[in-house]
Amino acid sequence: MITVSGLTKRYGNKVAVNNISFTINQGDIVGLLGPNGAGKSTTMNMLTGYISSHAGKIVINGHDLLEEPSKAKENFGYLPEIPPLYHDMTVREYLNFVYNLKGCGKKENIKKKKEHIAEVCDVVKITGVYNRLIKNLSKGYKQRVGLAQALIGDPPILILDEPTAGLDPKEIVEIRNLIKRLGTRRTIILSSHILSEVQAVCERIIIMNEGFIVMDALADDLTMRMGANSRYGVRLAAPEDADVIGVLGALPGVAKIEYVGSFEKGTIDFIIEAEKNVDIRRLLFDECAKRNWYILMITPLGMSLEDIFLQLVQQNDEQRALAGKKDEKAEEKASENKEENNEEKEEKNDDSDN
Amino acid sequence: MTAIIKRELVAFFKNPIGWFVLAIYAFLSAILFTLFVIWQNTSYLGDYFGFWLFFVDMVVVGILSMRFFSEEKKNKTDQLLLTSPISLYQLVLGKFFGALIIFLLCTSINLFYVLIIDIFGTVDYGCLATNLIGTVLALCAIISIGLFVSALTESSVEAAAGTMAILFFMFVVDFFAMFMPSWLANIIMHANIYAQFDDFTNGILNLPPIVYYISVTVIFLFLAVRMIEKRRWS
Repeated sequence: MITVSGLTKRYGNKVAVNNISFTINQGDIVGLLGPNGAGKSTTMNMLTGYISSHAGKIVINGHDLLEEPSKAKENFGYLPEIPPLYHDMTVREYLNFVYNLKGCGKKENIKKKKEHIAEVCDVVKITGVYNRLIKNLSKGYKQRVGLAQALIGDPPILILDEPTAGLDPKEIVEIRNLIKRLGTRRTIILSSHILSEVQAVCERIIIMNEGFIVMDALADDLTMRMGANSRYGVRLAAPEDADVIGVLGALPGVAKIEYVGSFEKGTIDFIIEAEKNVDIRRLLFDECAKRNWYILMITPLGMSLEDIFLQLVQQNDEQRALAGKKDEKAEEKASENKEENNEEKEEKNDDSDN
Repeated sequence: MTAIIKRELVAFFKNPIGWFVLAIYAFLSAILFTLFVIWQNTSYLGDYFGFWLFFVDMVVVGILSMRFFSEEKKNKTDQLLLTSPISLYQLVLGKFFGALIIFLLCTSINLFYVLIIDIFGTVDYGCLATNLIGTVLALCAIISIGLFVSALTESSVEAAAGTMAILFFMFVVDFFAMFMPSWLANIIMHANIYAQFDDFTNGILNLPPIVYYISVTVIFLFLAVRMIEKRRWS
């Protein structure tokens, strides 16, 4: 449905998006995640044709964005970070304008103007403010009107740039639920730097940092890949005087053990973290069985997306720093070789002169 | 394109600036009509149209140019326009025709003065027709310059000041031409947007000024499109 290949955007000397490629299939809900300045909004702006790329190709539903911009743009609705609203218009006037702007009247598969707009208003729940001036609406309603304009024309793809930015918690939950509902029959790409938001809404996550894609994975896979089988929450029934933390902490392969509390009478809760590539569960079971301690509960704890994100960004920075050092070393080596060659040549010349 | 034309008209009449512009138009037209027609005791409208074009349109196009693209950029509504399935040419032409219709509505105030002359004197309809044709053509050129300047900047004030400065420079460029070599002065005087209006005020429908105004319009509309395109690439 959307194919992006080798996309690059530069602002002067700064490379905002660096040679990224990905494919988004029909029905996917994809989250573009990254800190501020990672290149998310630039990527979205290029996907929607608001700005052009310096290199690369974007194909939307079989239409190249550069060669057939109008046809490609018919396939998506876009909600930028700041909803593009005309504050001097009422919601009705604005949605009528967008309907005409997108040329929906000429499309056969779209309902008549009034009917279609009423349906969209019903979906995003703005029927109550239909005749009100946009400038008098709350931020949450403005966001909904922005979402309504993206839905006009019933596009199969929705591109949403930070759709909950600046909303209060209640509005955030409502917009998230709305996006989830819309995602049942649409492809959605949304960007955010709020990790929990992406986790709550998206099935697939693309993490960006400094213009690069540092990870592209399914949301569940991502959590499992980074943290599964290494961290567990454990509830243990053991005598009160037993040194559970000391004994289990001394087991081979245990990286960290942390006391959490006692939530049931005669039990102790703790988090145990294993060293990399070590399955601690069998050792844990054997040790507890030997001491007649009963494991009442053992829960694998994946890393939170915050942890994953920070880890990935750190890894990415380290890799790039390493690549930089390698380049420097290669350059040094090359210049040393050059000098040696020059010296050898000079020696040869001297010999021949003599 | 029709959606953008409608949007321009709605925005003009919903905005207090629109009514302010109309009021300025009516007020200045009345003063100029009194100065150039009633006080001169003539039914000749050429001087009235000539001066009116310079003074009123320079100010008003300047004010309106704030709204063409600069305000869209400032309010981020350009994101809606540039990501919708319309071409840049449709967008620029929509803005252009929207502004032209607004100006034609404003210009229609002049028909009231024609009626007054018709009641109390004799109207030279041939001269009136050439003046109106010239006005429409010159308006097209002036609006396209305003559109181009507005596409250059994100600041509404800069857009207004820039447009007024260019139009004012074109008006006074004849003065500077006096101090230049004759070949250069000749070129400058022919390039002046206001000098080209002289034939129309005298009731003459000449081809060169018509070609000139159409050329200026097409060139500046094209430049406005290229400027928006350039911004997307930069």
